[in-house]
Amino acid sequence: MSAPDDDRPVAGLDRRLLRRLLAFAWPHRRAFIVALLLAMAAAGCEVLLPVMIKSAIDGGLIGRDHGHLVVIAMAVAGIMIARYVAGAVGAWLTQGATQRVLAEVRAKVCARLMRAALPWIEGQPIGRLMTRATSDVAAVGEMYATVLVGVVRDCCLLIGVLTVLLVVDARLGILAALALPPLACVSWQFRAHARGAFREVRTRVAAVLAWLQERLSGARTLRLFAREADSAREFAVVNGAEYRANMRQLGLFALFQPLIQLIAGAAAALLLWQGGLAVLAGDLTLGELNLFLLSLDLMLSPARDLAERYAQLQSALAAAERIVVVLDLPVEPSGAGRPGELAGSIAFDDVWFAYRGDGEPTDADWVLRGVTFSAAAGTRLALVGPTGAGKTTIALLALGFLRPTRGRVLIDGVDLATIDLSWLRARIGAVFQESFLFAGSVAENLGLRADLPRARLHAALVAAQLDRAVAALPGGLDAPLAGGGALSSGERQLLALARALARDPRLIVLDEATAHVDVATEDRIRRAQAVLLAGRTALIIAHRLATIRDADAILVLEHGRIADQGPHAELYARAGLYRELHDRQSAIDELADLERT
Amino acid sequence: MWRLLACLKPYRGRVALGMLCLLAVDLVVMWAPRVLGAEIDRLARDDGSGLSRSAATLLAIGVASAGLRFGWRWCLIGASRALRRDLRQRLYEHLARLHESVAARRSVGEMLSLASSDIEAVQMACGFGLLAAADALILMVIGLVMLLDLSPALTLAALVPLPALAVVAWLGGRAIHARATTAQESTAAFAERVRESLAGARVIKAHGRDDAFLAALDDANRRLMDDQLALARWSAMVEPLAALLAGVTVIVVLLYGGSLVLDGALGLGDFVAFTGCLALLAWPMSAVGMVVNLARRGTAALDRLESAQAEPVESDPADALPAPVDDALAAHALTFTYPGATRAALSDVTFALNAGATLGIVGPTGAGKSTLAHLLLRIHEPPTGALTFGGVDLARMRRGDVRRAVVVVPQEPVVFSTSVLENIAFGAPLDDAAVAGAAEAARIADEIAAMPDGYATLLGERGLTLSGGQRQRVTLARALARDPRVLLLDDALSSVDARTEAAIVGDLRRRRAGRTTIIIAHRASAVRHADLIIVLDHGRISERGTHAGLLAAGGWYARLARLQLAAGDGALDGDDA
Repeated sequence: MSAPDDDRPVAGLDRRLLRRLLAFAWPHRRAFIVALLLAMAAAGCEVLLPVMIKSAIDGGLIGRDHGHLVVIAMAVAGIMIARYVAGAVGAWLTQGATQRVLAEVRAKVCARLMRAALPWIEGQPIGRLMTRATSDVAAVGEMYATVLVGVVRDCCLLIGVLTVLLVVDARLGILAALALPPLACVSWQFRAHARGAFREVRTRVAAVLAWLQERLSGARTLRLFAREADSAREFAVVNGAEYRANMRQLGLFALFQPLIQLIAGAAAALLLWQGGLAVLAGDLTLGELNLFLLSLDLMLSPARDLAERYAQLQSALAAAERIVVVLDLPVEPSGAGRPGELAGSIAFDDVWFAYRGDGEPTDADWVLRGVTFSAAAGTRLALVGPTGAGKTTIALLALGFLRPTRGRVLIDGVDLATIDLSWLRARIGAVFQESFLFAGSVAENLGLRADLPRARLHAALVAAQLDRAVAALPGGLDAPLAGGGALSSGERQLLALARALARDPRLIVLDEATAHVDVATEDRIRRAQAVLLAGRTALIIAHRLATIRDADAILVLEHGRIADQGPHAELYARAGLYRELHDRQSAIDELADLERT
Repeated sequence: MWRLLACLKPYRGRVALGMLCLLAVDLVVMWAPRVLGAEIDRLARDDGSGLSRSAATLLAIGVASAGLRFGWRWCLIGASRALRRDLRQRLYEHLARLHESVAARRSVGEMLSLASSDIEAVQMACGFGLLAAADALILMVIGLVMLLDLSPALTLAALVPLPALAVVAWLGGRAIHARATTAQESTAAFAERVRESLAGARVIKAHGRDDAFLAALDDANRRLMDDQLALARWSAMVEPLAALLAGVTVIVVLLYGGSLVLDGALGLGDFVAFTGCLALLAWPMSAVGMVVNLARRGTAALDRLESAQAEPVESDPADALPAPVDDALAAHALTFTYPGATRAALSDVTFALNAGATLGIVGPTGAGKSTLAHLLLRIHEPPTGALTFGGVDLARMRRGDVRRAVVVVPQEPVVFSTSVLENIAFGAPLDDAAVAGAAEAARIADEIAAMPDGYATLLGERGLTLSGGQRQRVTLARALARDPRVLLLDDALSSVDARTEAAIVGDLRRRRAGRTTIIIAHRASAVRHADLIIVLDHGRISERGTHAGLLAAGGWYARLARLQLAAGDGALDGDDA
């Protein structure tokens, strides 16, 4: 799912973005501050443990004091418990606050996405939008849970251990610290190379999967041309490239860990040698020597981790950048007016429309060029015309999904731009060609999470000729429609009609389906449509001749203009574009029947 | 478990070398605390004689373990990646040859998940899983031997808390695993909610239901947060528990080991060495659960892979016949029923086509036209003797020979993400002129010339996207370039507009004069020149004859031809328009 643009590293650290990330966490600052203090405390415990062992060796074992050993053992127990409590409570608080922040960010992202304008949503790959609300938010979570707390913990450990070592023996402390620069250098180099190697592996894996996807989908073609063996040889090349990229990455990893251990080993050898000499000279106790060797790892691991934290911060910022783009999206513009009950008349007043938002549209950009018509309440208007004439644009304008570039759309004589769109759309029955099914039950798909009485849903199903099909499903109205497999494509159309019927709207915007269905279903769709249209105002993108003939008026569109309008008999008599379209459609309808027999 | 190990057999050299490195590194690493302990003892006696040698030994241990660690990583993990590569290759070679009867049952998504996640599970089990198991076992054995060697009594005392540690780790792991599963599920549920709300945005907004769906998203979001919180809290409490319990061991060693030292039963150096060895034992304890988990997942994945590779592929018996010289085709009372179907897809279909003649097949959707094509191509198995090619039973011929003789332009054109040239030549040894000639005949040459790199233009995902009509004409050129003995057009021009279709059919008549050609079509205009036209209806031949004869008969074919004329050139439905 990771598109190429999801992998772009953020150049440097964007201050504004960091501030915004911290602003998300601001309401939970108390929990984060306490968590940071606890992380410091846990780091302190970590530093103290080797000191206790040193004291046990020097004071207890070498000093031959059993009582001291018992005291130290109790102190160790205390420190361990303190470390556990600080660690557990700290993680609890950090995670608790982080998950709350993430839930808030997710809610904001979802709200922005759902409130965006429809053309924008439909213009984006859904997978990418989903990533914004899911994995991108999770990546931002790393920022709080891992980076913020981790950096504080690592720094405290590093400073704490160094301080203890320098206090115990300044010269040896400096020797121990000598291991840090090469370590930092190796870690940093590794990070830089690992990033490239990782990306290479990811690209190669994606290439293997894409290759497989394509060849497995086209396997029959390969077999029909007897190319199975060829394609296996081709796959060996793609597959081999992935293997080699993997081995390069493996080489890098296989080198990194041992190098770190080599540095640690060299440091340990140096400390043992110099420390041993100091012990012989009486400048250092055996316990102190042991302390140096025990603390070495405690000092090196945070130094190594800090490089990792920087990488995590970068990917969190990259994710945050993508999220911020969504958070800054404009909301679909809507008026606030709710003009009483809807009578259902609709009119276009010299409407021009072009998709280009920037600058003055050129002549070729116009999709609609001065469309004017009106449909009185209770009348039926059919839109016909060749593909690309502007029929769908008119439907989208009527629903407020698009706004006229010039001119006005009037509902009951009121400019649509001033009306509350949610309010209006709840009173319009919109039926599209593609009937989307949600994962819930039949009832939920009809009601769309509105609290409609079941009797009304049932009545809608009866009117839509769908009651028997639904009764046959296990659970009837409550039958789950996951994936829509239970309904045929014709029945999905009927469900879309039932959705509109259940709302008893005054105005219908209907895009008639052209999908091939069997004769019986075709008949059901025709009857359901008749019930839906009876007594209501309707704007229909019509494909069926019967629908067109029954309309009170027909608009013939061509190149974004109204080429002709009037009732069927009048238009047909004129022997123009309408007659041509009509006769061709009639032959196409008959052909479809012929192909079905 | 043994089956997983058996997978590694081809890489046994690498695996053995890696194992040797692993054993060596564990021995060397466990040696370090002993070196340290011995030196502490000497220093305690004010004896500096061995100091530089001990430091050098530590350095040597560092160098040796670094080299050995690189060795086992490279060998063991590398072997598992080679295994992944080879498993994938073998899987593809099998899936590419899968017989149609089983190929249709498996979705491409399923096959991809076999090739990715299942093979990765096997690789993880054989690579990291095996490695962790071996490492844990070796370390545990060496560690225990060393600890017992240093002090048997202290070893027993120190190991007392370990069972408790194991139990806590197991219980805690189980609790976390359960919550992680729940959190995973609600993550997926939330993602699906988001997907659905965006995919259905048109319907949701058109009915003014944005608020209600947003509220549902918020519910899913809250559930996700609650589950993540539960997981986070359990992890917060359980994860540091292991360190706490390991602390019990430290205290036991301090108190009991300390008094042993004070009593003189244990040397100070041995005491230090003991604590060092003990620290190295923490990892093997925690590795066990992980290894079991990896092995279980790997075995399940291996089962799925093996069952996929047990499915039948296309293969010819040893006595299969070569293709004959004569190109005449005939069907003798051909009846065919798909396995599992109750109704026959073709019943009693009989026709004879002389070598060099053209056969047209028309009929409503689902009449059996494509089934007939698939039988001719041996995608499905025709009944013995029902189809003959040059007088020889098609069912007994070698598949490869049949497909080299009968070349199809399929209904669903498949174009691959390679260059136009490779898509047309498609593995055949053709010169550029032959490819260009075929493109010309398929009426695609001009469009190829207009492409950014001409015949070298990349198609598909990372290249140019072709329209349905263009794809059909590229696949037509692919078939024409082979100049096959029998050319079979399986409704291959459905996305091509009527005018282009007429031009292509006209060219075909000239190019294919005297060559056997079968045209399955929706338009009467595509078959009107055929020597024989058959109309299929519900698997039976309902009409047969020439264009003129069928028109005169006034049946289904005549109606089709008349209506298609009335519907015009179809400029509104062909996407080439």
